[in-house]
Parts: sequence; C-alpha cells; structure tokens
Amino acid sequence: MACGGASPATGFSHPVFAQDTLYVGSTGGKVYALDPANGNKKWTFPADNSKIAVLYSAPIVGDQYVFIGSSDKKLYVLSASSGEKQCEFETGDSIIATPAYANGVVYVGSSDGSLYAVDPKQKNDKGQCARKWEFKTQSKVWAEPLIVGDKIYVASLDHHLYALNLNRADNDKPLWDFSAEGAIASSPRFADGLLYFGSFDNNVYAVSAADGKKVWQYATENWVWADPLVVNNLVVIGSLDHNIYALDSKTGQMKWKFATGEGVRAAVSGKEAIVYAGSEDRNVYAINVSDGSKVWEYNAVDKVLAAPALVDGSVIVQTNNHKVYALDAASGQKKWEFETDK
Amino acid sequence: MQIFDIFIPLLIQPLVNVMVVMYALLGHNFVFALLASTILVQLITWPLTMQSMSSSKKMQALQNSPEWKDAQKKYKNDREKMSQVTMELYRKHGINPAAGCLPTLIQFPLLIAFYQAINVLLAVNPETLLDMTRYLYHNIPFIADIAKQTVPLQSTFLWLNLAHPDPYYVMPVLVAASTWLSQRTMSMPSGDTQQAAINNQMQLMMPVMIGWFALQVASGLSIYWIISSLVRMAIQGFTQGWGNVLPSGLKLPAGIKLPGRLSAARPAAKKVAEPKPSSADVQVKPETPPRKPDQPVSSNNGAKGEGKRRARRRARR
Repeated sequence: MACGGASPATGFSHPVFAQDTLYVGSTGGKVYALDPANGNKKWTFPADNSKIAVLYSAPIVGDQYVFIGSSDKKLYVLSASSGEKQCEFETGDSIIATPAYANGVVYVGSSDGSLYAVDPKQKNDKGQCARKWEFKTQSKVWAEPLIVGDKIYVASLDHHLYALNLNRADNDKPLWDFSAEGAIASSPRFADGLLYFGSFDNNVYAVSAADGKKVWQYATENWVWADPLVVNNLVVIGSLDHNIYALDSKTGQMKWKFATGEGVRAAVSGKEAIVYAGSEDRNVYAINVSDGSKVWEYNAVDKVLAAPALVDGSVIVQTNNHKVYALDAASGQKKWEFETDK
Repeated sequence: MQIFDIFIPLLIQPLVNVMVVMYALLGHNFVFALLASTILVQLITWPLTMQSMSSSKKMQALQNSPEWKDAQKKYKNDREKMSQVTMELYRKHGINPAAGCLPTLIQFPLLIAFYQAINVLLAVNPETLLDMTRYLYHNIPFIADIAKQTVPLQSTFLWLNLAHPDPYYVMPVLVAASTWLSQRTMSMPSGDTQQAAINNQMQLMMPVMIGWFALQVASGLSIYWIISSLVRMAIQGFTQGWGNVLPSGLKLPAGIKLPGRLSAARPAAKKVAEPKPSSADVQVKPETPPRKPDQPVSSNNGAKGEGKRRARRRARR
C-alpha cells in the first residue's frame, strides 16, 4: 500500500490478441498494435507523442474496429489496421469497463452509471458515434458486459447483475436482476446456462442465465474483483484474499486454491491444462488446472493487475511498470519485452 | 518502510474504519460521517489542546509580568544571559515553551490522516478502491460486513463531488474564513510586541495558505477542515466559555444564553480574554503594582471584580 491516500492511477487494461495482432492499452495512456511474434510496433493511437488518458478498459476488436474506453469519459473507435480514429462517444464519467461488441453494435459501461449501446457506423449531429440506447443503474458500471445470444448481462457497483434484451428501448425494464450483498466489478462469464461472477461481498456466484436465480455461492475472505474463467468444469477466479480458487462449476465446491503473495485482481487466462494468473505480488503464475500445483512463476518486477493474453504458445502480460512481456507458455522464459510510453 | 508509513496503522487505518462505520450508521452520507468522525477525533485530542492552551496562558501572563519585562530590559544587549534568564523564568513558573505549538502540531498529523482517509474512502480511481481493502479491518466481522455492503461510498454532496476540488471555489473561501475565525478564537494575545506581530501575521498567512491548499484538494477534505474548525470552537465554547469564541463586537441578544461555561454575552467574557497579568490564572507571583482605586477593571463593564472572580474559579479548577 502506498503511504496512505490515493494510489497513482496507472490503469489495468489487459492485452488482447485478434486478427494476428496484439492490442495493448498501455499504462501510459496509449493504444498499441504489436506484432505478437516479436513485439514490434505496428501503430499507436494517438500516433503522435500525446496520450489519451489512463486506460482500464481493454481494447476489443470487432469487424474492422478496435474499441477502447478511457478515463477521459470517451469510447474510442479506431481502425484495426491503422489505428486511425473513426469516431468517439462521450459518456458522463470515466470508462473503466471493457466494451463488448456484437452485430455491429458496441456496448460499454461508464462510471456515470449507464450501459450504452453505440453504433460505430452512425454519427450524430455532433460527429460522435450514435447512441442506440442507454440503461441506467444506480452506481458505476465497471464490469465488461457479456453478450449471450440476444441478451446482454451487465453488472454494476450498485450490487446488481442485470439481464437485458439486446434490442431494447431506453425505458425497457431489465428481464431480471440479481442482487448481491456487495458491489459487482467482476465481469460475468457464461457456461452451461449459468453466469459466474464475483462480488465485493467476498462471494463468487453462479446464477441461472434464464431467470437470475442463484444456483450457488462460495465465500472467499476478501473482495472478488477478478473476472472468472470457466475451464474443464471449473470456475477459476482470483480473490483479493491473495488466493486463486478453482470451484466446481455445478456445485461451487472448492477443488483447490492457490496462494499468491498479494491480492489477485486480474482475471485468470487459459484454455485447458494450464491457467495463467497475475498477482499484485508482482508475479505471473502458471498453474495446473487439475490440482492447482504451480508449473512456473515469473517475476514481472511490478504489480500485475491486468489479465494475461494467450498467443500461440506465449503468455502476454502487462505490468504497472510500463512493460509488456511475452513469456513462453510452457517454461515461463521471457521471449521479448516491449516498453510502452510513460 | 518510510517514516510516514507509521501513520497508516496508527491514524489512517482506524480513521478509515471509523468513517466506514459512521457512513453506514448515518444514512450513507459521507459528510455526516465526516462530521461525526471529526467530533470524535477532536474530543479525543481535546485534553492535549487544553494542556497547551493552559501553557499558552501561563506564558502570556509571564510575558506581561514586570519580572519578564525587567529581564528583557536589563539583558537586552546580552543575548546569552537573556536566554538563560528566560529559561530560568520558564522553569520557575513551570512553563514548557514548546507546549504552545501543540494544537498546531496535533492538527497537522490529523489533517494528513484525514486527507489520506478521505482519498481512500472516496476512491478517486480504481487503484485506490483496490487499496481500500488493505485499510479495512477484515478480521472484525462487524466492520467487514458493513464495508462490503457500503463500498463504494457515495461521493456527491450538494453541488460537490467530494473526491474532487470544488469547481465554484466556495469551499476554499469557507476554509480560509473558518481557519481565520478559529485562529482568532484559539490564540492567546501576547504581551511581547514582536511575538504579537508574528501572531498577527500568522493569523493572516495561515488562512490564505490553507485556502490555497483547498483549491487543489478533494472538497471532502475542505469539508473536514471547516467542520474541525467549527467543532474546535464549539468545544472551546462549551469548556472555556463562549466569550472567546464569539467574534468581538457580537453581542448576544438579552436573555439568550448559550450552553456551557461562561455563557455570558461578549462584554463580560471579554475580560477573560484580555491579556491581564492575572495571578489566579497562572502561578506567576503577582508582582504587578496594585491597581489604583480609580482604575477600571474593564473598559466596558461596570461589574467590578467579575474578572477576578472568574479567574479565581478557573484557578480552582
């Protein structure tokens, strides 16, 4: 902890791999498109020496666009090939949440308490991307919305998880909402009809995607801010109590837990046998999904608050010291590193 | 570990937890939580403040005594001897010359602690909210339960976002005004003309400095400062009498009595505040020449002997 008071804002945007490119929202406030093989820069936004603002939102890719929210309240729509700005959409407060994209519409939550549906191809009379609809919650929306079929699920710091129709009007009521005891900053994940997420009430929840009824909950010993990963019938999720938990996705029973030295805010990434996690203890861990044993660890010099990305045998992590590391997924050996602008 | 890290477990962490509880108990209103926490902290530190005020009074009385003035005159060209005699006088009259600084010395760590606690609680950015978990007493179930239900705290009050400076500059003006008022009521007039000049200068400089500071910081901190100034004055009013607290020239309408000691209106109370070499106030020998029979006790009060009686009462206390 810093010597009391406000910690410096560094952001925790996680890298995203799409269309043969690695997209990184840097701790210095720029968006980078990198070659995942060697870390060579393809483009940056802004292209000059300026920066946007602190980035918490990850850059997601849809069609020919990169979408990223910024703490300057704006959602930026960039060309995925050149980084050139296509349009922007301004909300009432900083954007911490990663956007979601489906069927030509981008959905983004804002600290002003709303989830916005924005059409990147249409512009309003101010030259901004056109708003399709807005859904207001009672507090900040910091979690990435999840789109499943024709529904969108969004969590808010007002303690609720809401289910909405994708094609809705401003005043339409949610299909259902689930109330937790604490704020929800964890983005829901979907598997086998259930939605999984964590809450500041220390719990990991599984609720039915159909009606929002709780199926199970599991109590950790501190806030659960991280997004869950569902793999091999396990919900793997970090807690600020320093542990990473693997819970049975059907029952919520704990299968194993893995202790790190500090809180785990970042989502765990992985596909099958091994999952990868960053911790505030400055390490990146590779963990066996079957039993929670450590495969390797890599000291990343500074806190790892953003989820790792997996790219062709590499684990890409961004740390708070303005570095992007590519680690060998099997051994944890560093392949390359890239220093972003400060 | 940095030296300031000591403040975290000693001051900041308890404050954060107290304020979270107050916030939950007082209708999820951050300003009410701030008000309650400030009153609590001022009450806890009041004995120290009282001690230093008493020391200031002794010092003031000493500086007005002929003994002091004679020494000043006698040794004005011999600094070494002067400081020896000064220290001797301090010793003789049981005065700690550093004690007068205590109220200020107490207020600054508290200001820093409140500043840090307010920043943590209002979570100006997600990293600070992340840090908040380290300040909360998770091992006390009552507090942990309250925290998980109330976080993040609402940071709006009237036109203010308490996590940011006041865009209309009302808070900095109120901060400067309350600092000035608080200093005026808390400070002791000095018989030493040089010291009095310094005091006057400080009384102008401090409000300007604190007001300038308020321009840059979260308006929640400005509210803390205003509340703490008012609370200090209120506590002083209740314990020392409202005479010193009310601005000079302000007379309470006849028949109105404020609670607390010496609740009399300004004219009677003014005598207490005057820098008289009152022997009852301090243990300095009454070396002042006897008052001439025609010399008035107070320029604006005919109640002869009232000041003496009040001083005797305080000496007994």
